[in-house]
Amino acid sequence: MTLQPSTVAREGHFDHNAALAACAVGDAAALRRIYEWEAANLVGIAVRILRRRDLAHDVVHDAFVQVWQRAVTFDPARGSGRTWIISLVRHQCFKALRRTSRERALDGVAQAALPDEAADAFSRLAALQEAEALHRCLQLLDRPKREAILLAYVDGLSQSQIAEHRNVPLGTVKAWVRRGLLSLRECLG
Amino acid sequence: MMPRDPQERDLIAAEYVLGHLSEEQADEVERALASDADLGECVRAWEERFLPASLLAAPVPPDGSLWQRIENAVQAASTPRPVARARIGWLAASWRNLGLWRLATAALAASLLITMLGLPGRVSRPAFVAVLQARDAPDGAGWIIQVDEDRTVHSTPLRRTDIEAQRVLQLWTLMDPAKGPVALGLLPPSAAVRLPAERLPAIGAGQLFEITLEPAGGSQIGRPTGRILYIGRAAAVAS
Repeated sequence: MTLQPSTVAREGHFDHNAALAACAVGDAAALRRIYEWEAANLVGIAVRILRRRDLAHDVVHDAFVQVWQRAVTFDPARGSGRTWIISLVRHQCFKALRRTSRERALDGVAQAALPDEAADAFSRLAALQEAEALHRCLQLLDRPKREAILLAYVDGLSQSQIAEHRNVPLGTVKAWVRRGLLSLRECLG
Repeated sequence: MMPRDPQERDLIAAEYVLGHLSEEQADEVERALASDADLGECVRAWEERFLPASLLAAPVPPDGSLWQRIENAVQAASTPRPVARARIGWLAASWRNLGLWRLATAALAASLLITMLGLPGRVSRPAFVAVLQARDAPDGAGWIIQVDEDRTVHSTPLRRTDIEAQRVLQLWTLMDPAKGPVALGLLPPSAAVRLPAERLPAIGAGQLFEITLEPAGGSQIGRPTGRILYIGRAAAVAS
């Protein structure tokens, strides 16, 4: 049976924690349920960071194997299952970036698209109910800090890539990110 | 070198989540996470703060072959290797046949047996061993808990445990009766697992370990809610 994860807004609700608990006791159908619900989102996150479909598939594959093997260590008291799964995917992306030499320059087209993406990301956050607090707190930052943080989180850019793209010294980007994070923590709690 | 100032550590946690640490720094954070609960909390808090931004990446439907690849990999990872299965079977049979369970120093006997057989995947020797007996059977050694010097916990079932649907096995340890049992993790009923060292706050001779039957996801109240299936005390392994 070919699974076709939905790409449109999903109806209903999925209990990630319960699915992870089931994976922990060897219930493979639970892993498949997680896949059905999240695979398109997770491949999307990986494609956004890696900008390559083939690598993104490898990363999501490795992440699902980790979900299966580590589900027994997931502790619902310490955070949400969805965040845990997404974090596994993100860290696999960072490993892939290191393997394929992350300091390679972005190509010209990708570079040009970045400022729009960062501004776009911020305005789209406004429309997401779940992002209300994050949007409000990012709004307190000036544009360079806000966009540096979004380029880092959503697009997976390193500080030197952000510096190159903005044509500022690396130290400036470090300061933007640091101050942006301090302000976010104070605002978000 | 990890900074000691709490605010600086929190910023390192944030940069770890953003993917801005070098490979060496990220490795250092991952090693620290194994034993530093506060750092773990910082990392988790930043993951939750940023999580809504993960919704900004447009979904990309995966190739149809992706699930099959995952399923193949997971089945390969889940099938106990024949050697491992045979050894667990031999361990259980030896336990009963040799009458080792009769020995007063049961945990020492178990540690001798384990050292002799060399359970697969083990590199370091255990520092403590607890043999958990089934509540309802006389020679009912059901589970072996081994704790390494770095407090990694290895859990090995000696027999099959049939559990009802929507139920899980949860491992607890009791260090201070006044504080009650501490949850260590959920256990698959028929596979050996390793729990990370950060789960076990302390280990000492005589320390009680028990496995209870809990609802799916484990006990939600930080205390056992279900019946105890296996229970035993740790003994130091003679070195």
